[in-house]
Amino acid sequence: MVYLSALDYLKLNKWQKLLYKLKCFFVAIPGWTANKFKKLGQLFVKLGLAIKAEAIYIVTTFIHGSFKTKLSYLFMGFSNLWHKQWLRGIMFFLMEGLFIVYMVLYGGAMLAKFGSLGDIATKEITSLVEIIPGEIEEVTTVVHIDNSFKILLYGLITIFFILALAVTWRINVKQAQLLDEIDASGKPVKSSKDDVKSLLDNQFHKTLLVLPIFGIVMFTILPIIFMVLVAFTNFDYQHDGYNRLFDWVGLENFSKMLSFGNGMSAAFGEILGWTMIWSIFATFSNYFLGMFVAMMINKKGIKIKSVWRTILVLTIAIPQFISLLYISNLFSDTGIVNGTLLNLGIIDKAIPFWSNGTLAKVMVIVVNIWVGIPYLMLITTGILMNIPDDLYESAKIDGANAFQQFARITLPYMLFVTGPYLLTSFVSNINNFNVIYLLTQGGPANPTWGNVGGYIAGDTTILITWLFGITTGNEANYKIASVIGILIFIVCAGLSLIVFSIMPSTRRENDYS
Amino acid sequence: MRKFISVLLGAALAAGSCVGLAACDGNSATNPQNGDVKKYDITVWAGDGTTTMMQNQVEKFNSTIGKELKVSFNAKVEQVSEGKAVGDAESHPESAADLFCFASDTFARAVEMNLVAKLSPSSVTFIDENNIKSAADASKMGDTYYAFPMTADNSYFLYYNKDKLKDTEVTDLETMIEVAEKQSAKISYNLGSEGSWYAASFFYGTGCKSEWVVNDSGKFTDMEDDFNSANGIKAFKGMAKLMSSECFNDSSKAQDFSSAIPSIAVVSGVWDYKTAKTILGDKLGVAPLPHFTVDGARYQATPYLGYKFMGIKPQSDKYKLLYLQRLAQYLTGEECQTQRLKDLGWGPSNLKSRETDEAKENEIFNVINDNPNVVQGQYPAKWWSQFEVACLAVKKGTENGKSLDDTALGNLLKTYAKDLATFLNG
Repeated sequence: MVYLSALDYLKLNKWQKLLYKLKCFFVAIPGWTANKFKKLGQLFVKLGLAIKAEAIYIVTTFIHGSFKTKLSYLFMGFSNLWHKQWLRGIMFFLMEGLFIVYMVLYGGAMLAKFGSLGDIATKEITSLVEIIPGEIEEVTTVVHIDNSFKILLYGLITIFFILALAVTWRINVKQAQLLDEIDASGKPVKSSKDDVKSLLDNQFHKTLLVLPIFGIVMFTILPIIFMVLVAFTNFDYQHDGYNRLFDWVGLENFSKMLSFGNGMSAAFGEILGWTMIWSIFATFSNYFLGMFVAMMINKKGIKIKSVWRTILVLTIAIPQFISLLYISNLFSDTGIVNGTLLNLGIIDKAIPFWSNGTLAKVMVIVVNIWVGIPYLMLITTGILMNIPDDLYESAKIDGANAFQQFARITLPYMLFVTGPYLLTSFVSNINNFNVIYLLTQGGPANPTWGNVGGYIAGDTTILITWLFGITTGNEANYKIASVIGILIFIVCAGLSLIVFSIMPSTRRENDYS
Repeated sequence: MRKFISVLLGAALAAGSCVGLAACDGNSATNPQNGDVKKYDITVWAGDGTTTMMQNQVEKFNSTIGKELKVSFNAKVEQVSEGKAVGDAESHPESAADLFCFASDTFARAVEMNLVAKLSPSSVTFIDENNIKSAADASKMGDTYYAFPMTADNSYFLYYNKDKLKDTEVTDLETMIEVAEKQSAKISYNLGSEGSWYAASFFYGTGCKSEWVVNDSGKFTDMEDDFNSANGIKAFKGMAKLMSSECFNDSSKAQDFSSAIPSIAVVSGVWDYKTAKTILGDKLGVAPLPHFTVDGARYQATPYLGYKFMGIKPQSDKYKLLYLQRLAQYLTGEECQTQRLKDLGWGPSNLKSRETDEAKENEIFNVINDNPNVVQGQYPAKWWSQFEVACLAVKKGTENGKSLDDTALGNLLKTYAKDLATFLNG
């Protein structure tokens, strides 16, 4: 392909420019992909070299180290304790001790069964019991042996623990080696007092970060990895892990979800499509209408502005789930709206607001506008007030009409400032459980998609409400729900990365500053 | 320094040993000492609005039979509806209640998932001697008994507004539809969304049957289902008559009597009696399910008759398990069932309770017992959802004046049968 110079490009008309850009985009794809693979390869090479360097360091440090360093390989913190660095030494020692105790009592067994997720769930024991003298009864008790859920969870925790110990052990080796160097140089070693002082002074950031990092690992990273692993098991209502063990099944669940020609993949495609349509409408309708309302209220000559704002903000004052449930009842087939219209003779049969698929889709978008506009109105009001008046004045002098002013000044400014918000709003609408579930529960049910997990998805079902239905239906299917969760993540992360990279807020950071 | 390290290592080893020894203790059961009252902390799940009664009944047991047996239960009674109990126990099996009440349609699942304990011979004798045969039979899976019958009224019938419908009009669905359409009112019959339980009444009405064979461990091994037949198509046509009408409301809630577009008839069960009575007062009528006419033949919709059971969570302590069975015998015995009949209007399965004046004079209980019904067997979760898919397809195919011919209805039933055969064959 021949690339145009800047001058040649400027000579093109609007459509030629668009065509040229598209051509460039598609031509660049192979190169871009190859580049990514190349970078990935380089990453692996770097990783290999780093591992090699680590291995060499560990071996040479052991060979050349003093007996204290050598013993520190086995008894963590030995060198520190020898040098009276009590705090460091005890911490290392405790870490090792805790690890050994945990592995002996629990972790070892859990890790050993991690590959199979358990062998026997329960064992029945029949025995004779006498609670009334002379009356001997046969009783069947049950003893639980393995628990797949616990094995998966604690197995994962054990792997984390092993990794944490490996990192700590490496630090311990480094510390021992440094102490050898200090011994050789004759300099004094830092005491525990110095360590405490340092942790409260120049290392204070580390002290502060300990708890948050621990919290993130335990309550964010660990559950996410756990849920991802569930997608590779057969965890469902027939394999609860406690009374019936579950097992690894590899990529079987992904294959079921994504292979063509079965009901589940058809449902997934349809639901994904509607989820995207819903998110686009829910995000942009609120955005533009909210901005429009804010501009109307801010317009010079509009009286009692605060009253208009208050009226709109009232919808925020009422908890959203109450207003949504209320709306759901109000527009039901036998609700007040239909009842009133029938009684007044305006309609002769009830309008199926929620029971007709197309109408239900329109309704959820409209109701979402009603609950969403006030937020956008508040956000955009502040930003609109910050746009310098002189921009509009010069535009007027240049003869720009109201639409041109909006398209060339207001909108670019708004998109620049609210770009990241727009993106997060789009992603949160993909996962907007409340509005859909409280209004329609995902209905009206669509039997053509069959049932997944005992749940029959409906015309307004989005991925997140489908996931909820699948896990709470009478054939709860956690493994498929986990696959859906992963796919939602891929969609959200992919879109976020693409949009973020082309967003003016990130590409032209200095334009409006 | 070395001394210090050796002390430290010694302390760590000692601590590890202590923890290890403590872990070796296990979960062994202990025999109650003669003379001592054995005390157990237990959790009980009772249905909506019955927790206080259940608490009092457990305390009554403690002060009477418990004293004789030298056992006392400190019961924490929580409200979990019978329809949800098995599902909740399945979600959190470890923290499930020691005693829980559940609906008979969830029984096979409870057994399959090991959520209920096998009963001892004395409990089996108690169940057989004190309950109607159908309830006693329903409380076993294969030849093994797992649950104590509590009620024999888990069925549905017609509540109607006497001001809007005459007694003579509730006998036929076609007449009811005509009256409702004239009044721009609704008939609530949950035949679509989550309505398999109610929709089956049309199939049993035309003579269809669906019976599943379950083994001792709750696994479905075989089925005899002729819903995919000419009678099945007739049942669908009967349903379609109501579904295609403007008066159809896919619901079974007594609250529908007070909607903005009110229902003049609601198909529901005993649990909705209080609500219906509160809304309609003396205008409330109770009747068996209506007849419907298809291809010139008249059939009566025939509901399920199910039971409520009390089950015991599998225990590792054999003494506790036996004492819990004694408690369950009391809670499902004559005294407690009669009290539930008097206070809650629940129809008893206990032979003596059924002979009381309260039982004989109970309008709802009589409607259930004096009219045709099908004793509810065990069905896999897949059956309920596949049947629901077929019923929803009829609902969708008949909305907005559309209609489905016999071939289309037959195809829906073929798909239903095919999906179930696939399920059964694994």
